[in-house]
Amino acid sequence: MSSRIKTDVKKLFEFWCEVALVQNADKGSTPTGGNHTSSSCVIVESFPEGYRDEKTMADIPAFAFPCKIEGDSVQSYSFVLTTDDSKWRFGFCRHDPKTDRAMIIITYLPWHDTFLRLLTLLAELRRCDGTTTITTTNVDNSNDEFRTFLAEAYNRGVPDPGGHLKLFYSGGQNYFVFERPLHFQLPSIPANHNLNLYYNFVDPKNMIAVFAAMLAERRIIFTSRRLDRLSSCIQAANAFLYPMVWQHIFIPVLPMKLKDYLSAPMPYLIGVPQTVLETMTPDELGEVVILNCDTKVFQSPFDDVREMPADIVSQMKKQLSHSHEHIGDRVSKIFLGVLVQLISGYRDAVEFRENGKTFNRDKFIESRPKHLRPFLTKMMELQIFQQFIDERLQMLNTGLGYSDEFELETARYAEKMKKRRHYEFLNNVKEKRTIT
Amino acid sequence: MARGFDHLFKLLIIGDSGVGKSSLLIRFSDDTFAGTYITTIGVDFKIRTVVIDGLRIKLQIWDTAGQERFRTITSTYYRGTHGVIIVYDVTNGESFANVRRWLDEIQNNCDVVNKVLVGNKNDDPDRKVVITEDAQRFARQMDIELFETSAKDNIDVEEMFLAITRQVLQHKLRNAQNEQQKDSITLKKQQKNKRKSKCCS
Repeated sequence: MSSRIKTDVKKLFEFWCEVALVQNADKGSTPTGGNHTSSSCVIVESFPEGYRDEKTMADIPAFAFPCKIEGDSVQSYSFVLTTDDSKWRFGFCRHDPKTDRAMIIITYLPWHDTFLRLLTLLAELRRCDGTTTITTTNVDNSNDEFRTFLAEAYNRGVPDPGGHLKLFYSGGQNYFVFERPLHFQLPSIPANHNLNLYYNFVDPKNMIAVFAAMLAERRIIFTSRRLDRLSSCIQAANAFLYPMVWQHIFIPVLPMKLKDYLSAPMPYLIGVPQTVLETMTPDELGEVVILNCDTKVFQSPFDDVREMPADIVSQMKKQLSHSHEHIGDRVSKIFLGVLVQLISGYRDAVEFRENGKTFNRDKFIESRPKHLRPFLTKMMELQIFQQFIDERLQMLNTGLGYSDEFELETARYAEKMKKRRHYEFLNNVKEKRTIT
Repeated sequence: MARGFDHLFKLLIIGDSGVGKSSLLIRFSDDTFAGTYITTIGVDFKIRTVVIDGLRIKLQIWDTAGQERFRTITSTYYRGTHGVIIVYDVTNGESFANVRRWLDEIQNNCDVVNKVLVGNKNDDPDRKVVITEDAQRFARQMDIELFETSAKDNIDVEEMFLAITRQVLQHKLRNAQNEQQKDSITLKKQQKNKRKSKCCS
């Protein structure tokens, strides 16, 4: 299967913890990666008690403080861990510069907006608990609101698709809603925090350049001085690949201690804090595509945009320049529209064989308009395309029908093309008549 | 030399999970047999510097998690590498079938020329299902060198890694030589042309 999101998730989250930057501690990882610093990060509090994933727990502090965190405002960001079967596990993180502590939630659910909101609430509950400890004499009540809420969220399970779970706090006066996103909802502005940041900080021209680099499966680095911007931009750029899924190394925030992984020879998409990137030489990085989300500078040794069909690029540029239309899922749809034009014709190349349905590459290329063929021939060599085809074939072979946003958009596009052809045909007939 | 090596080679190790890729790498890098190693980011690598023909060669061998989900591994995966180590488990027929498919793809669509085929866990004849003759026949057909290894008992691991390293090195040196020859040919041509033009003037 192409998806890297774990299905059959039973819990809203797996683990919660707080990581603190401790001065002169013996254990833990240092945010600067060097041995000369006198500070390190350690997990100071966690939930649930019996969490046994030691490999993950050992790495969390490094992801919570991937480098020296700049700025004096609260930052919320996310990181991704990859399981042995290459599924993504998300870490949502809230760093408070006043206490130099970070709160982390580890979950299999990619519900970015929900978990970032949850972290804000958790921080608030903790703060309130802190004040009640001082004012009340009843010790049982202290720190309890927070713990009770956390335990309830942990034990209540995951709501069904499209459903939600309401959890009360402050003695039932307030509630928090875990809303389960519909299966194939496209990211929209302003509801999707990741897309908002990507849209605000990255120019359309660079969005197209990144998209083209991803469609060439390059080694791609995003960099920024802000961790929230960094992780959001990577996540948003990644979402534009839908219905395909990035199959390679994916690390939205790379901690200093893992910087050697930037010399991996395989395709990757890695978010590198500016201070981490500064420690690397061009020689160590090799042929790499870099987008700086702060300075809007895009560097690449390749010209992947030029490799794309020219009419598709100009269409994207035009649509992305109409900024007054961009509220809602319009921006996501612009990228989806491109992929519909490029790959939705895969159905015409599905063949029925004894052992089930198969995909005929040559037939696919031949069935496409001539000007798309050179690029599509290259796309055949992409792991993301290969996995996309495998996934769709598997769905067809198991008899599972599917109607996701991609197939709906495909149907709309086919209808539009049919109308256009009909219109052109009528025009032709008219012209012929006027000539004769 | 300040950087401490003459050549840096990046190799990939591919194969289903459970065939012993990590054990091979751990064995090769510091010669102790250990359990799981892959990091929480789904990729890992091991480093070792070896000396071949007086040249210090730094090897980086890279591995990613969950490759068995790929029916084919496409060419973009191999783009930046100098060589590939393709591993199956001699006690697991399916792991051999996967490797055959992947090798077909490498042969047909990739520029990777340096590669070795490795049948690991070759330490218990009773459990062996991929027989040497079959693997050997396939290797010959694919024009690839076969090693049957055991990371557990440290059989032929070193030999295999050195063989692929030697292959990459020879390939690189041959290429460099060809480049030089090409350069000298163009240089000669240019000189000839120069002389000619002189004559004419």
